[in-house]
Amino acid sequence: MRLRRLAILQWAGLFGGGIAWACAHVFGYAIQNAECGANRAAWSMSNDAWEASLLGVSMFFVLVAEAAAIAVLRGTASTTYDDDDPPASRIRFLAIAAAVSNVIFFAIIVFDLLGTLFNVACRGS
Amino acid sequence: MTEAALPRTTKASGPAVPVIVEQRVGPPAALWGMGILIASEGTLFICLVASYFYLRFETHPWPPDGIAPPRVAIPLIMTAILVATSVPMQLAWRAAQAGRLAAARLALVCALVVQAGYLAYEIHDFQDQLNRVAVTRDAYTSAYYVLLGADHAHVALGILFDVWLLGKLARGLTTYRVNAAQAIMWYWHFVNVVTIIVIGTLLSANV
Amino acid sequence: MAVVAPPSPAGAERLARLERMWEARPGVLGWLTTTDHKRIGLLYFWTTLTFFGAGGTEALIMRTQLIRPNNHLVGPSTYDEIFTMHGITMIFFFIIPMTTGAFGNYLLPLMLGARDMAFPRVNALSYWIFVSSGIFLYTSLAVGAAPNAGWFDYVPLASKAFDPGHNIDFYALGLLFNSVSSTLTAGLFIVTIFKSRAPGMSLNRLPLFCYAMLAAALGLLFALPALSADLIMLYLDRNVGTHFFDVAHGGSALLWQNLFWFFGHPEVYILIVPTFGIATSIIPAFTQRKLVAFPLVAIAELLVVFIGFGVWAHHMFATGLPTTALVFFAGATAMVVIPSTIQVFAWCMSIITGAPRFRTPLLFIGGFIFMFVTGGLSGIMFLAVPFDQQVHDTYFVIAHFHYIIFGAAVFPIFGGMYYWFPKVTGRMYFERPGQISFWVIFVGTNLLFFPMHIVGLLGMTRREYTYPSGLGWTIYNQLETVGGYVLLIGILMLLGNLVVSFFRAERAGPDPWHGPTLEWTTSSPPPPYNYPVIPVVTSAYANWDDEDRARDRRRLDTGELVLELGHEQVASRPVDGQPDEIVEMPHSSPWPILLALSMAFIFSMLLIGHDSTAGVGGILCLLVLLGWHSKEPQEA
Repeated sequence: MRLRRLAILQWAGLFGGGIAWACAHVFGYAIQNAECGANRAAWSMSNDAWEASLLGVSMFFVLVAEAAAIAVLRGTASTTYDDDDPPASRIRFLAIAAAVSNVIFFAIIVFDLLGTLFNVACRGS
Repeated sequence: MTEAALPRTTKASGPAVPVIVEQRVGPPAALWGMGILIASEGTLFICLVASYFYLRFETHPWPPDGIAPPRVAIPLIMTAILVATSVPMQLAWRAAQAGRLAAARLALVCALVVQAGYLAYEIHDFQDQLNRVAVTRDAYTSAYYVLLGADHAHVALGILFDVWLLGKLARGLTTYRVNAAQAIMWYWHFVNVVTIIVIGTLLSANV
Repeated sequence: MAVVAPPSPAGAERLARLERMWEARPGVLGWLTTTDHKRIGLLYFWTTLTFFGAGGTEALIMRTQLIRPNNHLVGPSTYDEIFTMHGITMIFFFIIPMTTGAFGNYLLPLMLGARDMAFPRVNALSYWIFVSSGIFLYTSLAVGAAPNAGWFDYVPLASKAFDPGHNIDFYALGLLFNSVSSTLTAGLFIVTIFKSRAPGMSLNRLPLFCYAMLAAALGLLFALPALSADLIMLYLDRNVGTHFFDVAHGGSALLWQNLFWFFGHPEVYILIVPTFGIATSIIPAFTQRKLVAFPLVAIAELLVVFIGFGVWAHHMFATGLPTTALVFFAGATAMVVIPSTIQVFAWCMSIITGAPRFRTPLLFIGGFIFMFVTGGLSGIMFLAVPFDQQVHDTYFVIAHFHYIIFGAAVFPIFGGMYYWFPKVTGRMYFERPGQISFWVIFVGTNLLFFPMHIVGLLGMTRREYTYPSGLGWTIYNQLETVGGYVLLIGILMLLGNLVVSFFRAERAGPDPWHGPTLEWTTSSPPPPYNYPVIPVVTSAYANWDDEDRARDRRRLDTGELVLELGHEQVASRPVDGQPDEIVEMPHSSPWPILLALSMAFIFSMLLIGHDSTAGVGGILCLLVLLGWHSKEPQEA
């Protein structure tokens, strides 16, 4: 039972951050295309507000995924990922992987947020 | 390098002989293969839909002058009819899994008839639209017809799958054929979801 | 290694039955209908080496043309075809099929403890499509209509208005055809990695080479459809008259670039990730220690490809896109470096804290790390948009990606050839000539590609068939051309060493290196059934678990997990690797090569505009598929 709960948290931690970043990335870029394309008049929205909301929400979900990964790491503290038997060793192994990857995803979204807020919307490069 | 210094695991344990259970637990290989096909074709449709919207963001007005936006009612009704065939496809697999061959065949035939009727109508309508507005007119017509045509092509492929399965079921049930029924059911769920997205994308020109 | 006791009479009987069950069909027909992953891997190996020769010849023609200003070895339009074919050949017909088709096919089932891939006939189909698409594309050179708009083939240059001949149609149809092969391989690898593992091989016990192949396969699966969509739209624009890319009718030239690079950037990670897997196989063998930070390296393989899907517009920093849009790609580009860096640290720490034996394979990995870091440093510079705009389309870019591709993809391929040569051929290679070949290749590669950084910063643009004198570019071009020929000598030394070793070197046992993974437990070369007993694993370094391997051998006598009654292997559950069922595998089959030929017919007819005849080819394909699925596997 405990292992089952840990396994669910492990998968959430592993995939949650990546999905959050992917959504932030795709929809963030799509908003820029909608906002700055020739069809702009039909899609008027405030660039900064939309980007800040989208990226803020994704950052939240990455943090949730990271919390899940850390919870699993603490829950499997007595297990090693190489010497012990699955599923406990597999759960710990993938939680280590999740803990590291969510940090990377968080950093990318921070860069995105700073970049969209501190640049003038739609100015060409 | 001494024997003692060579790397070892500290615990060379595990079952002496692993037990192979009577009933397969994980999904069969056929379903994995169909999953791969769905992932690949699904990504293709995502790219085509993204291209539609990309062109739309660049072009004003959309649709361009002189082209009426697509009708709403009939495409939605036809989509609903096609999506409804997911039900007999699911029933066909369930019946096959339970060993009820006649029920499986019946459900499959029902789905096939509706799907073939849908496709026949859509091909007629496609040609009709082409006669009125050519595909070579501009980017809007290019994106419209190619996206819609790709959807119809995948419906046609699904119909071919159904016909093949019917041929196989004519000779009875085997594990292979039950797995095939499951894989083809998944294919139809996928096509139906794609059709909803494609029709939704094309009809969004009315917005 | 422990001395292996001979099997009991019952065990010997089982071995004999296995040999008969898995015996290959003899002769040429046996090769044409093979579904054995090892034979298919070898077919890929020789075919990709041939394409490497073609691509290398194209490179040397370019280098010789550029040895001095205002040279006239080849004219501008021929030069266009040559640099385009060079790029297409090296990427689609050498690196991808060599790393996935040759190394991946041969080694993946062996490392997983399986007897074959999950879908052996699909494996064969993938090879025959690959060969057919290569012949299709090279026919273009023979008829003087090779693709000539660069390997990324930008519109409007590639449109019918500016490129009216068949050149770009060869490109579009040839790459569409080729993408079927790669997609099939990718899908096959994914299913095999999840369903064909040895009992006990949970995800934390999966060798890092397999993680690398999984990452490449996932990348191929999700990237290729973008290229296919692009190529379909290009073909339609050129032959039917649609306007996807035609700005005058509401189309967008940037649509081509967005879709292409959405494919193209993951593609370049797909080029190097399998070779990361080769490096992580060689390092434990030659340091005799487990790799540092194993879980981090495993996830880094996958992360590099996953994040790599989000950086595509950094190839478009000079197109005038809004800065607020480019930001997303600069951010992702900055962080995609991190997983690669994690791996570089893990490799270096493993070598430093292990007991390194610098035999030829490890030398190539050392060279790989040096070149990859150098190329990575120039790559990270591109994330600054102003700098990127300055060096866009110059030789600086060429320097960067050749350091990465040659350094991170080709060096490990060469190292891997040496490392697994004993396993595949049953003979050792000659060590001294091997080391010399490494140094000649290393010197030649750096002499060829390093000056490109400088001449690029001095303003020499890429894809120019010649250049004027007096710009200070000549000396660098001369150095590069000399480097190219030195590299050629090194490669010939490598190939010569392997050929001579095949005939003259001492025989190799099953495990000359005390390698970490399962392929070193079986004979060299492996028997057609790979393992007499399906191994049961309890760690990621299965060949170092002597007790487990002894237990495997004892099972031959008791008859457990030998599966000698049919052409069978064990299917596993996807996450924790428990055995799930016994599956029957196909024998040799004619359907894959027949399907590939039918598809080649379709694409050839489309090329010359005979669309209805192509439709007949489609019906032919359906008939072949009917035959393919006519015989069902026996119930267990």
